[in-house]
Amino acid sequence: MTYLEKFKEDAYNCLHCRLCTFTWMWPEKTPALWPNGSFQPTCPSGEKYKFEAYFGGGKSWLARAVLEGRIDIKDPALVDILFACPTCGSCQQQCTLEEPEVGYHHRIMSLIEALRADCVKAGSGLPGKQKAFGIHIGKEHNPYMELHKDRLSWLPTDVKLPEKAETVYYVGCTSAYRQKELAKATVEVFQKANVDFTIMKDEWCCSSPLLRTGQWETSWVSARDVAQHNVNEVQKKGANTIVTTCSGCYRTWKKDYTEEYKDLLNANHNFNILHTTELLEQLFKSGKLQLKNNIKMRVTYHDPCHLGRHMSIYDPPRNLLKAIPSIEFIEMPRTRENAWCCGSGGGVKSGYPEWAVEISGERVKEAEQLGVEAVVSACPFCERNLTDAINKYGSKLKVYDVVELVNKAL
Amino acid sequence: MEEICKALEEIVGAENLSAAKPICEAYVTKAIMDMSSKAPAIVVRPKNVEEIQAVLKLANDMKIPVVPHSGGLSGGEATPTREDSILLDLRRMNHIVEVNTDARYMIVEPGVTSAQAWKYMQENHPDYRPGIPDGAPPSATIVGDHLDRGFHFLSTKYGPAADAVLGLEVVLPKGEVVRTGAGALPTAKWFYRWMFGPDLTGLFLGSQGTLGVVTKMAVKIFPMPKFRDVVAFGASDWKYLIEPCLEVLKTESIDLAQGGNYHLATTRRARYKWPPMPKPNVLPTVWMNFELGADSKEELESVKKRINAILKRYQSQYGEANFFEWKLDVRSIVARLTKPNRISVPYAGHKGGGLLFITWYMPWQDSGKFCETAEKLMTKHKFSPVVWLAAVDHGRQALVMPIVLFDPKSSEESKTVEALDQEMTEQFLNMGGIPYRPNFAIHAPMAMSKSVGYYNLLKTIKCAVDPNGIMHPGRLGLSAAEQKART
Repeated sequence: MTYLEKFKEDAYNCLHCRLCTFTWMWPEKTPALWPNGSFQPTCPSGEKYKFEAYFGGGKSWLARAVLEGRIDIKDPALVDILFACPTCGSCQQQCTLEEPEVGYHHRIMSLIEALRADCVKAGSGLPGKQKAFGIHIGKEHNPYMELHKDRLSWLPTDVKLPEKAETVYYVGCTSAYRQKELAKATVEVFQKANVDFTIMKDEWCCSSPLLRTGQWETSWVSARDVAQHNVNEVQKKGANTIVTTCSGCYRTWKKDYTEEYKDLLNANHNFNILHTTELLEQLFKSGKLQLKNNIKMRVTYHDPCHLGRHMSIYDPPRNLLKAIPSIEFIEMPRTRENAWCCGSGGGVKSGYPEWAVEISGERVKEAEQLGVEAVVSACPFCERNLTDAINKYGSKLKVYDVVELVNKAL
Repeated sequence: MEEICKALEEIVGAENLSAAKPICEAYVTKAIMDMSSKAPAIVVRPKNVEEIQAVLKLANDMKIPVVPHSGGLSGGEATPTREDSILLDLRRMNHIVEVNTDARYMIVEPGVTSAQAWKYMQENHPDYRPGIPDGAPPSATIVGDHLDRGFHFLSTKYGPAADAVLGLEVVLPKGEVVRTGAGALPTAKWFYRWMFGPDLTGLFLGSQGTLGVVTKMAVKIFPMPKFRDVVAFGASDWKYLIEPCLEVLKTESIDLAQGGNYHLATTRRARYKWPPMPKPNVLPTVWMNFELGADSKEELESVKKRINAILKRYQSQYGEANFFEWKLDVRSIVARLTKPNRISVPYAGHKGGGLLFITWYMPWQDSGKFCETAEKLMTKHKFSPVVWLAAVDHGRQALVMPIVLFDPKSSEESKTVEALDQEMTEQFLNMGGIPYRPNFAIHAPMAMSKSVGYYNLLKTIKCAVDPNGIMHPGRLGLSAAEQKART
């Protein structure tokens, strides 16, 4: 049985109406006046490669063709179509036929990931460095070609953390190896807010890069082993809550371990999973976090796909930004459910690095048009790719994570 | 194949051409208007008229079928009937060429979507609005809807979308470019559908891509009223709805009149499971919405008063249980008046992604009988009897659209859809109906077999314009074999 067969219903639930190809933001005041973010491009893959196959609907009909035996899973053109997609979930978001609340699904992301896994199983797929990072996760437990022993090298030596605590700060590979300032800021904020937390000494990659790129069960790495290791490590800490700054880790811990890939990973758990913005918002609302320092800055917010569309967390980061004294907060035209992807997810950053920055460049341009000084996000992977685009295109924008600004305001 | 691809690559560039099977398969749609969709052999994405000319010259020389495809919202109708075809994906040609608010038209390329046109008008000419399809996703193109004689949200007032076309630019199968209407004269604006002689604009409307590739179209734009509202009637049976509605329509004051039966209201989303729930008392068995627009509150109230007077008169004749005003809540009114909308799409969720519109034209007075017949046939074939009814050109015509909701995973059910379509077509043709967008396998051959003189003329025209039969062969019963038999 192929992985795709599990999602046969979803494949056939596409009418092919092309609603997945653009944003939909309802008029706010009168029926005639549509906001600027409406009817805008929404699919990075389709906008880049243009053929119908690269849009969500096209991919759904390709899934049908694979199920009906009209396309070989190893067809190189199919492989490229499937992997050249940041799985941002915008196509699924725009689809009016997706009704999870009544059990009716058109899970385009699941279709893509299952097809990718079938490709990998058949010995194809994995463009660019995707297989290399998969192998590295198997050996050194991170996709960045770094050594596992250096995972906590960012942690200041004067920070003493308890062996056991109520909360585990799950740092994630990107913060541990690339966006180290974010990891440091997170620890500082937690300490200032008196959060009872600790960090796992033997934290492994959450497995998100493996799940997203179809490296589910391979000869070089097992997503199940990776996930189970992490769950066991958290249990050793006696924690009941896990907090992540990375939106990808957040989705993986909260949704993939317990729902989407529950059977595959066998790493179900009962931990309370929070994104840092959720925890900080709770602390702010309860008065335990005093945002008192002025930050005179005009900023906008970029919704990470894995936090927004994939997990429906939109308000906590915004509420925190709005609570910081003197910050002027402006929304981008394509925002919340309709946010344009930063381009780094779904294996695109490693498989198609130049295109990943191109996608991000479009987001940077959108932010620049607002006349803001900074674009703020809530994911180190977004932060990294937005920074790459700013550097490549010579933008004067600054990039922050919400946690970094909260830390400045404390 | 390699030779053809190489030649096409020289025309459009390698990045705008693909013969890869997955790229071609992704255009298939076995739904919406036709279920007999085939994947093309090659997809080409031209950027301008010159490239289309070159592609058609090549295809004509090599006798390769060509299928124009703008937004693809006609579903299977916008895809080949044969697997050896070139599909022209026209979405790169998406410019709004001109808007003239005095002569009240806009000229668009084939890739301009309803959403794009609406937004453009909102931002640049807010007093006017384009005629966009009602209910269809705004990914539908202006050219596709008008060319296919679509129903737009002002069709009750101004007729089918095709009636709003003022001129075309078309690349003919041998590569010549022609313009129709006033635009045929290089010095004239595109203000008038007619040139000297017959209506050559009309020749291409409804031709389903069998005569050439439309590269520009001038369409009327319409004033945006300052005040709008919806009045709805409910009835216990079609027979109580048709006559009063006709009287309202004869006032020629209605922007859009459309309605349907209980099943139309309840199968909209997947939460209404098959079989459909019994009708709750709060919903009428059948109903009709009248969308109204006016420049002042007084004018709007005056129209509503006139409609209500007609309603009251019929109510006293039929009884309050059989005919009544259906008070819509504000949310429903806003949903109806919001344009563009995407109301038609969620129906596909009812039974697993399958949806086929089988739409027919008839005189308004006969529409009730068509609706009843459709309900009976759909029930007989075990489909939810979902029927939509709309008035065109102030009720001179009606559109009856049975919406067949099926499970595409079941090949048996797909065959049943075809059996239903076959039986309905036989009956509707005998009842004097005209297929709205005749599909390839059933409507076109059956309708043409009953209209021999018309069909022969159509074939003669096709042979003259497209002697090698390269344009969308099979559509309208115009296959190459039939053409060959004729010549």
